[in-house]
Amino acid sequence: MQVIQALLILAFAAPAVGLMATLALGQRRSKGTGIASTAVSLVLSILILSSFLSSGKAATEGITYIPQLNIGFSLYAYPISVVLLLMSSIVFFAAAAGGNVKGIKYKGSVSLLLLFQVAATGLFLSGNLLMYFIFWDIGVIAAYFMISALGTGGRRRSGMKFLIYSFAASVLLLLGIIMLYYYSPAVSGLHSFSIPYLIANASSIPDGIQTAIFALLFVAFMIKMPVFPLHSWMADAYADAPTEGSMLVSGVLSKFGAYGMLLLFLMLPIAKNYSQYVFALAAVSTFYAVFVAMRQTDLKKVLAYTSMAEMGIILAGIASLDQIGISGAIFGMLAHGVTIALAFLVAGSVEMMFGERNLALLKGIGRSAQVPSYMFIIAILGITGMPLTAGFIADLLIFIGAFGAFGLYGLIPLAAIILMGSYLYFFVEKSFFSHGPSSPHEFSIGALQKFSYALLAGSVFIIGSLPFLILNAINLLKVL
Amino acid sequence: MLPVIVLVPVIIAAFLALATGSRKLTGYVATLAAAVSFVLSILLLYNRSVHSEVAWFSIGSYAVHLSFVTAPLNMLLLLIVSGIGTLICWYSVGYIETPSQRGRFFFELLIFMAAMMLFAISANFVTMFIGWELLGITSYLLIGFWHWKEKVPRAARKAITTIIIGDIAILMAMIILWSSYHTFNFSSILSAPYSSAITVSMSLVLIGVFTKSAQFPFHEWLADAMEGPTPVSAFLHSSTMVKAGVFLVAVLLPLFIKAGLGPVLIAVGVVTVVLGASNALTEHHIKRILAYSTIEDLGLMFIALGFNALAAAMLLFLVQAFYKAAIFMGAGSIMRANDEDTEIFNSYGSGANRMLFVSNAIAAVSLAGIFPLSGFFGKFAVESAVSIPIYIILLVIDVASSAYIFRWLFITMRQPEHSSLSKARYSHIPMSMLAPQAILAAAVVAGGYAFFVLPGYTGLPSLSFNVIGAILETIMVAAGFAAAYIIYRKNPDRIPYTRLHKLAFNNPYVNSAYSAIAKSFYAVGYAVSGLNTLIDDIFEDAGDAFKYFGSAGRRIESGQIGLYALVFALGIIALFIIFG
Amino acid sequence: MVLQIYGLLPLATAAAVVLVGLADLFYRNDKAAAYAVGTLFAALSIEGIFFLEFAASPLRLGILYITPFTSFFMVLFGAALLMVTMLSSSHSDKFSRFALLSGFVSVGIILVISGTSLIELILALELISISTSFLILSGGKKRVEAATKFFILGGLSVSIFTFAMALLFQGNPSLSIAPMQPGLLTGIAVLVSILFAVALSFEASLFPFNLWVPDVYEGSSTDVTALLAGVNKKVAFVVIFEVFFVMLSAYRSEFSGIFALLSIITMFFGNIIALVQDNVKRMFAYSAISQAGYITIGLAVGTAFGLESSMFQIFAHTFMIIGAFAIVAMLESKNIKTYREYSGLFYRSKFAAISLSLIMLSMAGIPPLIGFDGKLFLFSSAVSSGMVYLAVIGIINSLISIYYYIRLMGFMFTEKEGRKLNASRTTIAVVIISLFAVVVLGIYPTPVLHYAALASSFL
Repeated sequence: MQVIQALLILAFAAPAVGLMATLALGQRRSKGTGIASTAVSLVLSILILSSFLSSGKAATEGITYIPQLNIGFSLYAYPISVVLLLMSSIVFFAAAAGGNVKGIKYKGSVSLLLLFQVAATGLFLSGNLLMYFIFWDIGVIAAYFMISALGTGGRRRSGMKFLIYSFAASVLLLLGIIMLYYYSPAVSGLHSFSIPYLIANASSIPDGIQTAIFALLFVAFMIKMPVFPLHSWMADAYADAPTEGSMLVSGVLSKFGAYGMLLLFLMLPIAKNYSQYVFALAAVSTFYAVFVAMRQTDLKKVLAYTSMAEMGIILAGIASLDQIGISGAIFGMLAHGVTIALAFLVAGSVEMMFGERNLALLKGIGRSAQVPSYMFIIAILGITGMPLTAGFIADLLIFIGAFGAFGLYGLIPLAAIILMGSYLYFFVEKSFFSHGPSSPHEFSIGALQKFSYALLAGSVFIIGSLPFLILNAINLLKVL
Repeated sequence: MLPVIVLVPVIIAAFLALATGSRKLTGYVATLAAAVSFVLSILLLYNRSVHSEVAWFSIGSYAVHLSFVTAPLNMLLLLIVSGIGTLICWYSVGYIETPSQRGRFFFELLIFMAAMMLFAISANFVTMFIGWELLGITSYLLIGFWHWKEKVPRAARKAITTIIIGDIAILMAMIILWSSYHTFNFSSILSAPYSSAITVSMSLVLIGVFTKSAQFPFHEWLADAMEGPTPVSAFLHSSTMVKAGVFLVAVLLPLFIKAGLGPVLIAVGVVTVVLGASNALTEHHIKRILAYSTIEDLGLMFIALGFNALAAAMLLFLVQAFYKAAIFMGAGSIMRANDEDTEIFNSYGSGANRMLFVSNAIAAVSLAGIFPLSGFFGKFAVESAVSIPIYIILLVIDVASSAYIFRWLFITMRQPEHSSLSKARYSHIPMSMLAPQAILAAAVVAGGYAFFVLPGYTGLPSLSFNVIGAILETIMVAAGFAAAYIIYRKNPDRIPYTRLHKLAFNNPYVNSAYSAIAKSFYAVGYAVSGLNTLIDDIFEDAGDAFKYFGSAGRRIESGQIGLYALVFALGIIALFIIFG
Repeated sequence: MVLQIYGLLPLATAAAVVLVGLADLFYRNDKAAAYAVGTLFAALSIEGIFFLEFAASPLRLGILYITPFTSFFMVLFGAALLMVTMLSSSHSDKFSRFALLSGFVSVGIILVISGTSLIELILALELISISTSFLILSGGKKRVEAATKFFILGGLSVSIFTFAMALLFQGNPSLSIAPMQPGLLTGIAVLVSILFAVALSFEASLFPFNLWVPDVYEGSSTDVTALLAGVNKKVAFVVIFEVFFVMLSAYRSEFSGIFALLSIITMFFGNIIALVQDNVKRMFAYSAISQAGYITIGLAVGTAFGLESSMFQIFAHTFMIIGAFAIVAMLESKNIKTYREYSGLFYRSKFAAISLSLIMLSMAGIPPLIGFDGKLFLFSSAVSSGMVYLAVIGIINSLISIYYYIRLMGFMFTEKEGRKLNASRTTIAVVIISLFAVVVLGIYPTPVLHYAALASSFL
């Protein structure tokens, strides 16, 4: 067995072991367990990335556990999965360290976080679509409990809405996967859910069926990303989740959809026929989100719609179906994950310190809460694609791809970034660095949360300044 | 030796500043680091026109590099930045009095300086863009340095909002150029055959340039940026950062000419010059007057570039940095002596400190354009490059600029009622604020020499001197001086208040146009948010529809066994009808 | 010869339950009787496993015909009866009655699953049905009303079944459960199919022949409800297998549409009405109806894979619904019945809240729980035989169902302090058996699927 295979198994096992340890140990040790487990996962995902760069594509031995249907389980390292694994490990580590759920809910919160990580790791590394689906649903359930049991505000309602939308996505996904399975050619009487197999063979599915599958899966992933007009679950879910919930749902869960969308476009040749419509939808979704965001007053909702706008841009990159554009989209998923998690961490700190998220009521946070405020600026830099932050490489590559595919129209969504920057800096002016007397107390944040900030902000800059670390892996994606 | 080495001292010092925080030493370390960078820049002069690059990342089969070049133009900007930067750091040692602000200030200032130097030596779009965007963000942070003061957050936001427009425009241009030529290198694009991509992308670059260099209609942020600390105004918002746009056009000038954008440059430049000069005449914020003057200077440079007169533009580019930085430092000192009051009519007695007054006067005289100070040569070079109609306009502008700068000088040197108090205050201005200005004033005097050597150094056609032009210009400047002397020296409190004045003061409603645009976007946002709620409701109603069916269906469950039997029978009949 | 003695074991075990019940009537030692009955049902289940493993070839003993199909359901019903017995022992004060009647039910079940002729089937069904009527009468608030409805409508269904038999006899003068030659039922195949389908839909709770279900489920005591949902309903499906997929297997194309239609309307009926329920028990009643609809998808598909998927889902749902009713019963005894009363359950009993959530998530079809596997197989079978529309309707229904399950979960996890609730040991045991199936067999469904395939191959 190669090193990378062992690493893949370890990476998948780490959060599972952490989860068991958390459940077994007491309330007081749960935070430490969570942090330790996610730290191990981060180290493993970095090792996987580096050994992937040296050894290339790799998969573990598959275990076929439902031989009747050729359903198996194997872990699979290829460019998209290693990058997304790295992104999710960073966000999980930061969420474990920076979350602010208190008291009796501690153990529950850490357990859910680790369950979510099991799901995310399994999903990103899974070599077949059925496992992808199973982990998708586990992730959804973990996120649902995070929102509805640990959240704030109208958490029950928001959790319900989140779950219904997510479940709608997952049933469509299930049907699409089953159809993909049966309509792709069988090898010696057995069909296969294997992703590489489907990428290689889905082209022989008749066009009509391909269109049906494309429609089913596209809608499913649209909901999850989310893309206009199926985004209604998002704002409430992001807003009412606890800090780590918002970080994970926006940073990691949305990538479930984006990753699936990418696979869909790589898998079905019919997607090419629809790419321009998808691009148009992506553009509409981006602008729509931006315009809604600028009218929000809840900081978390502002960030939620901003996140949605960014997902629209990532979708634009996927729709370009161009090597560079798709590389940009993958890079964008990484960039968006860490950046938006940073932004939501700020929202969490602000809420914890001032007991308030309404931007109309918050004034001059910048003087009493310096760290979160400057971190917010860093997040904005990432969101608006400043060079040396991760967002820049993503935007550059995505729009090179989009320009190649759609000409000048391809550049239209870039204009949304101007608006994004405008309203984000507007909120900074009104609430963070606004004039007026400073709040009577100086707030300080805990060492763990500071570490979480450092981790995320550091990632934003390191990924942005040393993009070759990631792009060398992405360049190995030779499917187009 | 890679040219990037010049960045190293300032970057180290920046993080040192962040770490050491409030100590006074921080400022001196910063100054020293800037000075080391300056010395390194001078050493780089021996490294002429070397193009060097480091691979940054590769995508597909293409590699993207970070490229640097030390061609004469680059060296010119590099020396201006590191030289003036050193003086600004020194000035700031005295200027920033609150210890807790020191670390942050020097960090932001030095990062800015590093970004500007990176921009100066960049040889491709990506490298340039890294510097370019860092300029924007450091500028934002520095304008908002005292964010708890009134007007400051708004000014900072206005700056960054304008600058983002330009950033995205340049990013678009980069994408288009790369897609056509598969390179980001300036030199490769400059030598590439012309295609329509150049016209499109250069138009976009122009938007970026106009936002950064405060040209109409993007010029208003610069005036508001004066809410920032004075060293920032002196460094970023007059002598260096705002000229990044001019520099970029200068580097890519052949492309703009090929794309036929020269007339655009001229037109925008003329409009901006007129707006800048007229606003400067009516403004009474001590720094905003100078800011509008900067806007005007930049307009002049663009006009020169529009006429493809690179040497003239670069001469003004150089000398303007000296006199503008000097006069801003003077403004800072005057404010220090007048309780940081920004209202020029509340500023008195700048004559009380001899060193300050002389420096101010030299800078003002140079700004107005009086022979033989460097400002004269700069303006003269530009004016001799333009066509006749533009020349006539510029002559009128000469009167105005001379008038507003002497107005500035005369108003600030009025004697207050308690002149002794004022004298005491002026004597408390620290030497670290006065000495850098004096050094700059010396450079202003000597800078005229560049008229004769700069073209040679940069390899451009030399500038020719003609006496008639010089005399004409001198007459205009004298007229402006006379006007200022009569109005402001004799009766300093009498402000001519006319409709024209009002129009100029309100900056032809540019700000109202800005807010109208912002409001229209917010209106769209309002409409879209309404739609958003509607979509939300539609999906919820769809959910409720099922519940409605449920409640209706529940009626069948009445508990009546007879009904159940009836349904049973009906069910059988229905199955027969369907399948039988 | 030895094998033939083995073959009599199941029936003997069931008869032994009757004897225990009789003995308990006289000696009134409910505790001992409960242990005995439980052990016997466990033995029944283990015997089934034994047959599955060691006696894969069919065994004919007069009126008993033991195949892996029999064994599969023996395992299932043995376990289900064991669980119901455990529930009953902790909740009803008159265990002797339960012991006796469940003995009759188990005898009936053995006869149904190993039956060789329709006469035997109808007698066994009646035995089960009448015993169940008495069981319903033994407890619960509206027991008389419930028992009456069950009995009267049951009579209606038996009469229809008999009529169908008579019609069948006309074309095929044999009532033995063996494949009929195609062409014998010309003209009346559809008629016979409809009548059988209707008669069996009554117990299998397919719409519109299932209107009694919620009333009866709600009216009887919860252990009996568990029996109705976990055992009686599944027995009806066994009869459907035997009648349609053995006897009438040549007419598959004629009745496939009937099951497709029944499946679709049943799923919608169960799920949509479950949406508006406030009483948890009633909600589970409707949810059980919708599950019957899912099971019917496999019947409509009718291929080996379809039947195998149906059997898998029957297996899965039995364990899920008994586990659910175990918790419902436990809470009912503390007077917690409606959604609102379930508020804060998590803070009063973590065990109840977490188990019930897992079971409901499984019912909704969330992986990696067993309900998901069942739905995956059912929808796959529909797609694989080109009936994509059934899969589409199935997933739409899954989506509707998540709402009412999650709504209840929302209540359970609301923060609200209350007196701690303790579960009895038997309840915990039942729930753990159920969770074993839900979680472990959910993650690793292969053995169940394997035996289901084996069973369906002997149809």
